[in-house]
Amino acid sequence: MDERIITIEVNGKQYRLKVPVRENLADFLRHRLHLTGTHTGCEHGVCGSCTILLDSRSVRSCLILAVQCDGRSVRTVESLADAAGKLDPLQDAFSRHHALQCGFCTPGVLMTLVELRENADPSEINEDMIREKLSGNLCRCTGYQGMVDAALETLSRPDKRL
Amino acid sequence: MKAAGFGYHRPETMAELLTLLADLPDARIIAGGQSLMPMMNFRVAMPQHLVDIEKIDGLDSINLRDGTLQIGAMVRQADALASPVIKKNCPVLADAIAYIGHQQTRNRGTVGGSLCHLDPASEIPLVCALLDAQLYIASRRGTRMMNFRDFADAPLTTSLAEDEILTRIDLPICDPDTRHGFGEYARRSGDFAVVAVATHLRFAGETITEARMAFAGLGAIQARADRLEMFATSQKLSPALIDKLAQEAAQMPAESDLHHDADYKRHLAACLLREVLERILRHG
Repeated sequence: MDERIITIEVNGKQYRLKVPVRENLADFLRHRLHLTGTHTGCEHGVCGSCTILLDSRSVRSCLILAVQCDGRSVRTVESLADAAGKLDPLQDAFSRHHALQCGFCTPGVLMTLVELRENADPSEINEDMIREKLSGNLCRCTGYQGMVDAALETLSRPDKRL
Repeated sequence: MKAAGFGYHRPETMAELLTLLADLPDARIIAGGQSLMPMMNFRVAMPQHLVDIEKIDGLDSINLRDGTLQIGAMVRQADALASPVIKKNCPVLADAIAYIGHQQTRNRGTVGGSLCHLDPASEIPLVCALLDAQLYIASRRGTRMMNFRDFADAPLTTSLAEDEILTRIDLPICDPDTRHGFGEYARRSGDFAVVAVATHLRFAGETITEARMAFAGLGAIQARADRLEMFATSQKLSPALIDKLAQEAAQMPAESDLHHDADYKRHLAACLLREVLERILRHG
């Protein structure tokens, strides 16, 4: 089996590990680093539950090989709450707005919204933009209204809210 | 749902890449991997060797030169969508890319990758068919240029040889006399199009001097509709002309698929074309 040694930064920590080249990033995070917050749903790029940030851009971790992330930086849902367990403002808003039920899609949804928070001007973030970004994350139980409410409250300026 | 084993190669120079492509048996190029990785996870594709072109310099630039928009094959769809140069000089491409997948797939997916994958419902090949894109192909044997029509052989099949790679896509830039439109119907936002249409009209005053209309989803390959273009050329864009073109579009050849029959696709094509042309008529 073809293997490579990769150096990768995950949630601010450096790792140097040997990986089979066929291993995707989602499996690498879950099975080697035991970061099981990143969920694997469809494993072919449709559901969005494995969404992570690669060099600060949201990507499907089931559609990229761990070996392709050599020398790069990854952030997962585990990077959001602080060491004492204090939730990120987005997570806190999700909790208050009942934006999750089973929670399976939540890690991917949160990382998609973190990318939006870091890249869009708060004065431009509105419901349409949030819904467009979330179109790449399937939720099959809660529906999207709570997520949209939580995202609007956290990411947008008051005049853009509902 | 895991890819089968393969050999992984990540060349750092074009020369190294072209040598690998010439020497390795059963090698597949991986660009953004947003189509190839799902196919490998499903084991629809099981290449012996994967050649990753992400490290090669010079494949991801967007330039304007000699009246042509030159797009490197590795330009990410998200970057193309955000590019002011593309928005200004080839707005139909920017409009089309907005329909491709989602933010998370556009962040990885590339312009060249989508062209080489050549899904019959995909947007970038549709724009290339519409505008007769010139494609630059490299191999150890040299470089060559080909028209999109010669490049697109069959669904999911290009005319690239095993040792060749698409490096650049050239599109004509639009000028103040041209108007364009793009429309698509998919069952959910970001899904594959059932039918998509792209138009490019050149006007002298109110008269259409050049008409281009292309469709995706109707047939095996994205293609221009010669008959519709003929009807529109030298005409004034008017509600009557739009009615006629929509009627003609509803008669076009179309192929049924698992979920949509040919009549439904023709109906969609007519509706989308009408929508796009009415938008041009309204906004000038």
